[in-house]
Amino acid sequence: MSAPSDVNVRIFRQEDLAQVITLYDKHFAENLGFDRSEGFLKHFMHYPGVDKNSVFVTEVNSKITGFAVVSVTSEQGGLIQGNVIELRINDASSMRVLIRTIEDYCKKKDVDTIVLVAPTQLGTEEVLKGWLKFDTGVMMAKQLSLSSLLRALLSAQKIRSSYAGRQVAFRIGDEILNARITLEQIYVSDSNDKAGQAATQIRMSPHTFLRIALGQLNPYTAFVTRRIKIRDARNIVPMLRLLYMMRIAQPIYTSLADRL
Amino acid sequence: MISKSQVIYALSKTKAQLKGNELVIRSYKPGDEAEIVSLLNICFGDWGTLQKWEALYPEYPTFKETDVFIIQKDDQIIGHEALRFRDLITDSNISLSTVSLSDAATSPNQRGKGLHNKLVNVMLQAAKSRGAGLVFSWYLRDSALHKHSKKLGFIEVKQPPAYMKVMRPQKLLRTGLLDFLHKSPNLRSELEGLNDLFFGIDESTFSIDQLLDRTPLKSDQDQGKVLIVFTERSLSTLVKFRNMTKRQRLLSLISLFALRRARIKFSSFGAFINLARKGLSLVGSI
Repeated sequence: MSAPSDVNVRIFRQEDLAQVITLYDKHFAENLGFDRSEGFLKHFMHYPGVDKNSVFVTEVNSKITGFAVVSVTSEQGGLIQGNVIELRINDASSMRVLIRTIEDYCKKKDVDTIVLVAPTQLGTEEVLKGWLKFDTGVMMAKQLSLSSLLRALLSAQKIRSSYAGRQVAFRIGDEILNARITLEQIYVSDSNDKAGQAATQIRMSPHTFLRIALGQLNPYTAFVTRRIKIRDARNIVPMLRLLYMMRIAQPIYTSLADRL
Repeated sequence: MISKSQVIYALSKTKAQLKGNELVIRSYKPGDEAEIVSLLNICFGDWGTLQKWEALYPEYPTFKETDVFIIQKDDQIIGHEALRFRDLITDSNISLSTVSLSDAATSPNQRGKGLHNKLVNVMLQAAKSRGAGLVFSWYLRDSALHKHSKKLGFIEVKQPPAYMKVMRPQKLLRTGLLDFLHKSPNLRSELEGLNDLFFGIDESTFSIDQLLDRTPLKSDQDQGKVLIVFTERSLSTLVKFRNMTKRQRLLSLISLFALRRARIKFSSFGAFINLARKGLSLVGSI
């Protein structure tokens, strides 16, 4: 980890974009979050209240280690708020420098409050000492297209390699879909597709499926409490393990830009 | 998967159901912007400008005109809600197509008729037909929309907390109160009847008249001043107020007074009696 003195902070330049995208790619290797491709990052940099002097990057040895987009807006009752709508940082040292720069910028803009969502990493509590922690709102989720969800959840490399060649039917509420797992791809088809009919069927409600997918319910517990039924499986343990591997980690990192 | 024709059918069925009441659910058309922004400002107090709406929707990277839905009655926009499509990237670097619901607004005089429910059903079918695996939405805890979303099968998802640095506590208190009064019209009307009510943080104070930007009310008899003063340490509780349940709000207020992070000062016994008379209805509307 670099000492704070090694961290340089400056205004973002167009040529930094590729490195900023790499910064996000690193984040997605370990965390869950919304798309941060070029189109989205450019969109955030043109958001109301953002100007070219309110997009910052930190660098250590010419390598970008942090990125922040600040939008200054006038809220109800004339409150001037500095919203750090996007914040991605590699390490605590870069975070300390970036936060100090954001505070200085907001002071110059006569801001009354600064709001941000800190990345989930070590050192956040220490860097943001003296800041008030609060909830911006409750994030809620619901399952929509079962085929899209199954295709994505089953696509994890570890599932494709462990379950290659297996076919499983998922009966989620009234919907039945067959999933065929291969090393390269996941094929999801409806139950009328005879060629793809699976012998093993996992049955549960959409609510149970969603809770398992979002890591809020352990499939083994759900099976014991009869919220999951498995038909025609010689051994139910691999099926429960499959469900366990399908879950997506929480919390989902959502910046202010995602919550707007 | 629901086909496009099924969505069109659902939309036309809803249109037909609503036509008897001269209500139409349709997608956004260029030209609707000003009316939409005006509706959002009525519903949310001070939602923002046309520039903000354009940045959130038409300029959003995945935007299509069919992503914004409106409810129209007699050529007037009385409801709005939008879809924003974006991929969720999982820790295995897999993209899952998702959609978020945002800026749900129904004109105050059209609420309680199930319009929002009809609108959401049409929107969710449209999102499903476009392959979205999950839908996300953000609500104020314990709000009517939050409770309704649970009935629709939504579950709560963990997300990291936000942090706030307060530079000017008094301005934050003022804005927080305004926002809270906008969302609690009963409390607002209870407070509006009180003369000489002041709020403050440490040394600086402001009156209810200044807060509501109105000329001071004249009363037949001067009942004295009531001053509610918060300390800066109370801000950590107050910023969470918006997202608390009614019970949590009351408990928080009691604990603030018990810990002497908030105090009530009365300039006379008459002022105390005046507030005490309003006491129960005030507590009920918090």
